[in-house]
Amino acid sequence: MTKNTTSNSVQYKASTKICLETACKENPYQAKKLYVSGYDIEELADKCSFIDMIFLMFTGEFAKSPEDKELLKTLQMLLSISSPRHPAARAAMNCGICKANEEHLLPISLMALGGSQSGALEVKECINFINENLEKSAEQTADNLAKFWLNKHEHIAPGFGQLYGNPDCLSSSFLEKLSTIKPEGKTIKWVSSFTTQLGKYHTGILDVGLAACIFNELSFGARESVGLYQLLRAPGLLAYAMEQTHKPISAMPMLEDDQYELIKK
Amino acid sequence: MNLSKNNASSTLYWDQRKDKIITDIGKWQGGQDVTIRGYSLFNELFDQVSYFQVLVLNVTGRLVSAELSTWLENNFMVMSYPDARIWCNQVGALSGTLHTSPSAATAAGSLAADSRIYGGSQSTLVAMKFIGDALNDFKAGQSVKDIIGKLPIKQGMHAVPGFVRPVARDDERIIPHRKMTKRLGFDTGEHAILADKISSFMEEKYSMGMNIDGFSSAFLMDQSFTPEQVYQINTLRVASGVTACYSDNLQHPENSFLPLHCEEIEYTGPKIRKV
Repeated sequence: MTKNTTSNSVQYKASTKICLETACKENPYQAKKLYVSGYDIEELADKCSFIDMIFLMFTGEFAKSPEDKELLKTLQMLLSISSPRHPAARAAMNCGICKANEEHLLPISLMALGGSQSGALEVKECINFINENLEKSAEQTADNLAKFWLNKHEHIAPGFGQLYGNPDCLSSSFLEKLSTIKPEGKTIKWVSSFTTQLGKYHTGILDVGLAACIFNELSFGARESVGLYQLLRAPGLLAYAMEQTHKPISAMPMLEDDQYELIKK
Repeated sequence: MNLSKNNASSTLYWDQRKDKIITDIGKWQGGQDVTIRGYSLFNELFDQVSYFQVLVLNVTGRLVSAELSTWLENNFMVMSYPDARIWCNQVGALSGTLHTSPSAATAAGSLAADSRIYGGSQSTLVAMKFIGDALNDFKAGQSVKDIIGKLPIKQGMHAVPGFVRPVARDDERIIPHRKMTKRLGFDTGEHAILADKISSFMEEKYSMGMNIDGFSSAFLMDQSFTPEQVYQINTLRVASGVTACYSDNLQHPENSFLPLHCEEIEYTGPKIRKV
């Protein structure tokens, strides 16, 4: 991959529209300046927020409106901490207590969070579901899905379902809060109507559906939204894991043998 | 268990599982033994069967023959080369330059190969699903041409999972696999026969042939594995090559793996501007 070592050699090739580095005169490997989507990072540090940076890096521009910025800021806050009973949080805590290397704790919890059932992949599936149905009646879509929703352990649609047998009251409350920021948002309106209709079938929006709703409203891509969901969930997961590293392994005891039942198939 | 509308508010299902694990996969009996899918680790497996037999047993519940285990282990072996040009291995190499832990480097490289287009884990899952469906269609009377014709076109040709290897650059793993399969006494199954027909069609029409995913997928379907089982068995398939590239770069000075000048990354974004 080094230049012109043989007649058939190729140059390492990568391109990006996100970041421009200008080199130091004395050393071409070292950057003197770093620009994000054209803006000097030092100027951004003086004048902008982390939320501005997310828009800039993922869309190439700042948020289109103050409402959009407020939406992402609020979602970031709401997702920054999950329940300590969330499987990804428990994975994080498990690794903290068993003294896994501290640099692994966040990646482990984010990997666990990557799944297609209430994990990051479901955010993508939910965005695809929303966009497939956005021009249709939300109420009719919910009614049609309910006809075929037999196994209540399965989500009625990506991003929507029950949590321990009931609608997820916290996610519903978060949706209401987010809706007030941009009540006329096309995706927000559709998802709010869909969720209200799902209530008739004793189900509703889940946290991954909430994330999908806002990311789609803000025109982040379905693929990008997978990682953005993980990113917004990261602070709480890391905090849960780190807290456990300061405790003895006995603070989270293993279940006893009689609590582990081996059955024959 | 299905929750009907009438008992949707009940938490009984979860209450029954509080502080209790119920499973049939196995159990560690501290200080005595371990049960793996009904077998005693120290009385029936340890020092008697191969690691691969235990791996397959853990995933599938099947204690496969020594011959099938040998086939799987050799097949596993050829999906991991110590060559840092390959995407997953490059992750290992870059992790080495950062002095990442070997576990993290190897796990990261293995994740890099969890891909639908290479790596032999997810790509084999995709290829197995294809050849399984293809055999059903073939038995229902469809021709190979019909079966291929239904697939999406990518880069000017039908994208057939497991059959996108340029003929001019044969997959070096196929002939050794055919020899091994014969030596171990396996018959050619119906998936494998169809795979050869598809390969011939692809060679004639597109000058593309079977790759190792195509070959392995047909054989493993003939051995009654499901695509999901093979995906699980093969999760760490590229690990050893990743670790090799990690180990290599661990010894070198910082930033010595394919160093780049600032200008060598092509910038395609907006011109420099003010906030």
